[in-house]
Amino acid sequence: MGSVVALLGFAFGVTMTSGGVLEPVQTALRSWVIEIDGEVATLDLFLRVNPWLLVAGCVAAGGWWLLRSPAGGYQRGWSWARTGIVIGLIATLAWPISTLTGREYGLSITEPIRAIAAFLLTGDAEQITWSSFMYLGLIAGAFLAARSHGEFAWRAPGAQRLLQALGGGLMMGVGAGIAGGCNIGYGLTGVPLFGLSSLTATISIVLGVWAGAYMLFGSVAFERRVRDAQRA
Amino acid sequence: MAQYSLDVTGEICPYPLILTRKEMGKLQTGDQLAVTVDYAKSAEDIPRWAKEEGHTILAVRERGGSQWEIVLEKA
Repeated sequence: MGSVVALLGFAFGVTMTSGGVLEPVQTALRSWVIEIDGEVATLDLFLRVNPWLLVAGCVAAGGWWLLRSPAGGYQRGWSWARTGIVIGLIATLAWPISTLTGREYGLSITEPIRAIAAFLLTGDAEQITWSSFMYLGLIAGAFLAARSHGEFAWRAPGAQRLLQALGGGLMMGVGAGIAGGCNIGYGLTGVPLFGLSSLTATISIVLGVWAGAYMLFGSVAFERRVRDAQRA
Repeated sequence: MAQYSLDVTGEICPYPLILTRKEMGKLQTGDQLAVTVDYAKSAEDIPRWAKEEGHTILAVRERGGSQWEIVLEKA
C-alpha cells in the first residue's frame, strides 16, 4: 500500500506541475534552452564525435564494470545481466512499436501517469496514448511476475511510513513534472540518445538518491565509526 | 550469546535494511538476530549487506506467503 500511496502522490505532483498550480514554475525553469547548431543538445554534438564511438565506449566501460562486480549470492529470479539485456531490448523495441501508433518516443513513466490522471480527472480521452497502455501493461506484468514467484501480498506499513510515501511521491511527481520525465524517460530513453538534458537529469537523480540514502543510512554509518573508534 | 528477533513486515525498501542495521548496532558480538521481512527485495539486500559487514548468515528461510526469516550472527 506504501507504493500505491507513493504513486498517488506522484500523480498529484505531476498534475500540479503540468497544467496545475505549479505550471508557472515549470514554464519559467524550462524557458532556458541550450541548443547546439540549432539542434537538440547531445553529448556527441557537444564533443563533436561520432555517436557510435560513444556507444562503443559505453559498452566497453559498462561491460568491464559488470564483469568485475561480484555476483549476488542471495538473488532470486533473474540475474542483473539478464534483466538488463531484456530491459534494453524492451526499451529499443518500444520505439518502433510506439511509432506505429503515431507516438515517436521510447519508454516513459511520467507521461502515462500524468495522462491517466488527466483522463480520470477530466474525462479527456485524447490524453490516452500508447504509453498509457504500456504503463497498465507494466503493472499487470509486475503483478504476474510477483505472483508467479510467490512474492505478491498486500502489505501496509504504519501511518508514519504512509505519510512519508505520500510526501516522497509528491516530491518525485513535482520533480518529474518540472524535468519532464523520470529515471525511465531520461535514463532508459534519453541517455541512450546522449541527450545532455537526460544526462543532467539522470546525474541529478543519482545525486538526489545518494543524498536521500545518506540521510537515512548516514547516521547508522556514523554510529558505527564512533563505536569502532571507541574500540580501537 | 543472546537471541533477538525483529519484525519488519509491512515495511517498504529501504526501511527493512535500515531497521536491521539499527538493531544489529545494539547487539554484542555473537548475538543472533532473526529478522522477519515480507519485502522481496529486502530479503536479498539484508543478507548481502550482512555479508559485506562480515556478519554470519545462519539462515535465510522462505516462509511462504511472501515472508522470509533471515537469521544473522553479529561479528
